[in-house]
Order: sequence, then structure tokens, then C-alpha cells
Amino acid sequence: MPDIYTDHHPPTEQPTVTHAHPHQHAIQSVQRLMHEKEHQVNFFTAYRVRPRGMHFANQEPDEVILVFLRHHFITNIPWMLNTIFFALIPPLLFGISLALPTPLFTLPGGLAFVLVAFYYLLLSSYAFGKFISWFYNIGIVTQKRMIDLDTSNILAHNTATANFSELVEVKFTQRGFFQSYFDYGDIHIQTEAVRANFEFLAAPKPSYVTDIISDLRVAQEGGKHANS
Amino acid sequence: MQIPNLTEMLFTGIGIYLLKIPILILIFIYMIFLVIVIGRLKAFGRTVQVSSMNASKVLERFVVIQLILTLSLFVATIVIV
Repeated sequence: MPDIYTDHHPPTEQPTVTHAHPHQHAIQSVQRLMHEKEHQVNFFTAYRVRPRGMHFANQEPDEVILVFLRHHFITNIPWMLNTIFFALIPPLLFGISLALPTPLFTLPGGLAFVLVAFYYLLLSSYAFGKFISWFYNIGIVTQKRMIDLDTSNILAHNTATANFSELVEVKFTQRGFFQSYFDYGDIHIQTEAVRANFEFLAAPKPSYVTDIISDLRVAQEGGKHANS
Repeated sequence: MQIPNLTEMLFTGIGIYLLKIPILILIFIYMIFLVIVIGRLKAFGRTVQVSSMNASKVLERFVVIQLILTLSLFVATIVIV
């Protein structure tokens, strides 16, 4: 039977799809992070990759801190505004009492000085307490585990540690104008441990941190498969 | 009969001691609180050392300055009021 149609074009080579090892990307990402240059951490740093000069209790000799997190600095604005407002009250009252034709209330000079000084000491204590709650509310991610140091107030703190092998799911939420604009959000980590949830609240760059944690989990799984 | 001036009564004579003693007690309690805060800051510093400039030492110094100021206020309250 004669050929009705023949295709004179040689068959094109189909591109071969290479299936990279699913853990390879994560392992490479983690290794790149571990070899990244260290960056200085100052008093008001809320996010740093490979922080320099940081150590924590029970840190192993070969353990490297990959990510350092605090609440975004913008979360301090409310208490700062409160402090400024309350600091302005005594001068305001003084000004009002001077402006009135007859003073509402008179205090002996010494007593007034003591009361105002004590008021400002209490106010500075309030501001300091709030700062400490922010300063020592830290999240640390190393290549081996995650550590969450929670300081609810100056007199109480608790530390939680989770290994990547316990990690079930990691996700983040970023809600509202301020969180979107200043790029911070809540990172929720679900673990198999008794403490079901591990959280880094108001963390800067939550999407990047979530990626790092996911990569670390996958890399650790990859390491286990390679060794088995 | 003269109506007593409450302001004058409160801030003179025995009245001043009714104000002075509670203020002194409050300042003393505040000093104890500051000492506890110094202890807490040392504990925080042991848990995590943040930055090479030893931030916990800086914060402790701030609290110590506050403690000194409070102690001065305590003495001032006894002397001035």
C-alpha cells in the first residue's frame, strides 16, 4: 500500500525529566544557610539570619544558630505611647493648676516632689518591664532544633524546645494592614509532642522563616533516609 | 465654730506622718521588687546571651541605677517630707 503521508521531519528528542532527590534542595538550602556570613545582633534586632555573638544554655558545640527571632519592633509602639502619655500627666496637671485662679489642691513642696519622683520611677519600671518582655521573648532556630523562650512578664518565663523530627506542620498567618505592611506574622508549628503547638508570634519575615524551618525538617528527614 | 481645713490637717502635724509612712512602705516594696528584677535579669542572661555586648549586663546596670535612685528617694522622703 502506498504511503499517503510520510513525516520527513526526524522525531524530535523528548526532553528528559530528571527527578531530583526531594531532599536535595532542602539539604543544599540548609548548607548554604550554615555557610552564610554571620551578622551582628544589636539591642533592637528582631530578626537575624546567622546571628553573631549569640549563645544559649545547653547549646551543643557543633550547634549553629541559623535564625534569631523576636516580635517585630512595631509591637512595642503601644506601650511606648502609653509611657509618653502617662509621663505628660504631671506637667499637664501642674500647668492646669497654675492656670486656674485658685488651686484645686495644694501639696507641700517636699511631698509633691516625692510623689512625682515615685510616679516617674514606677512609670520607668513599667516601660522597662515591657521592654524586657520584648527583649527576652526570643525564638531560635538551629540546624538541630527550635527553641522558644517566652517571657510573659519580668518575673516569669518558660523555655520550650522542639526537634525537627517532631514537626508535623509549619504555617504562618499574616493578618491586617500593619502585619502586611511591616511584613511580620505568627508562625505556628504543630508538633507531635505533648505541647501540640509551638509558636513564634509577630515574627518578622514569616514566609522566609517558615521556608527555613520546612527545609530543615526535610533535610533532617533526608539525612535519616540516607543513613538508613 | 471654725470648719477644719482638711488640706491643712492632712499635710501638717500628725497628718504628714499618715502620708509619709505609706509612701515609705511603697518605696521599700519597690526596692525589693527591683532586687528581684536584677535576679531575674541574671537568670535571663544565663539562659541566652544576646549579642556580644552582653546585653543582660547593660540591663542590670539600668536596674541598679533605678535602685540607687529609689534608695535616694527613700532617704529624701524621710528628710524632706
